[in-house]
Amino acid sequence: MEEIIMTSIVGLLMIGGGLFVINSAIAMFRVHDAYERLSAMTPATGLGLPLIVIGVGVEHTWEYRFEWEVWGRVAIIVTAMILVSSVGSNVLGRAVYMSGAPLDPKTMFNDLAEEPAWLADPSSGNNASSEQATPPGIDSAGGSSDANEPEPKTSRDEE
Amino acid sequence: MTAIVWVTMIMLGASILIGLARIATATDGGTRAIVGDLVFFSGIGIIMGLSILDESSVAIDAAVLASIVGVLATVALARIITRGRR
Repeated sequence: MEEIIMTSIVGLLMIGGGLFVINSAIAMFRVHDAYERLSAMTPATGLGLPLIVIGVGVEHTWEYRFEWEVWGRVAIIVTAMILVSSVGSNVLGRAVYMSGAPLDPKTMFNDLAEEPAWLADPSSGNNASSEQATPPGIDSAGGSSDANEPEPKTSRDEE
Repeated sequence: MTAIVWVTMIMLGASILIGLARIATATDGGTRAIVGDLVFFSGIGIIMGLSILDESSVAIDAAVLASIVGVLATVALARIITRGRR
C-alpha cells in the first residue's frame, strides 16, 4: 500500500514536470515572434524542472534515507533555476530588441520605437517649446535637452 | 519506479530534439538564443534522471553547478546576438 502511494507521488511530480517542459518546447513552433518565445520558456525553467528535481529528491529519500546533503542541494537547484531564468529572461529580452528582431504584425504597442512626449524637440529651437516639453524633475535652464535624449536602437557606445 | 524515470528522460530528450529542430529552422538570432537556453536546462533534467538510474548521488552536485553556471551561458548568448554591445 505504501509503495503505491510513493510511486504515484513520484510519478506525479516527475511526469508532470516533464509535461511542462515538452509543452514549452512545442510552443516554440506555434508562436510567431521571438518575444513570445521568451514568455513561453518560463513554465519550463520555473516550474517544470523544479518539479523534476523535487521528484528526484523524494525518490532518493524513499530508496535510502533522509539525508541533509541531498535536500540542501535540491533547495540550491530550485532557487538557482528561478533566479537564473529571471535574470536570463531580462537580459535576453533586452538583447533581442537591440538586435532588431522583427515583431509580430499583430502587435499593438511598440513604445520604444517612438520618442516620449515630454522630450523637447531639438530641431525647433529652445524658446517656443521648452516650457511645455521639459522632463519632470529637471531644471529647464536650457541646454540640457540634448544630453538626455534616448535612442532605442543605437546607444551606449561609450559605456 | 525506473519506468517513471525513463518516461521523464524520454520527454526531456524529445524536448531537446524539438528545440534543435527549432534552432535549425529559425530565421533570426533571438529565437536561437532563447531555444538554446531551453536546451541547456533540459540537459540538467537528464543529468538528474541519470542519478537515479545509476544509483549515485554525486550527479546532483553536477546539476547544482550546471544550474548556477547557466546564467553565464544565457548572458553570453545575449552578448553574441547584439555583436558585443551591452
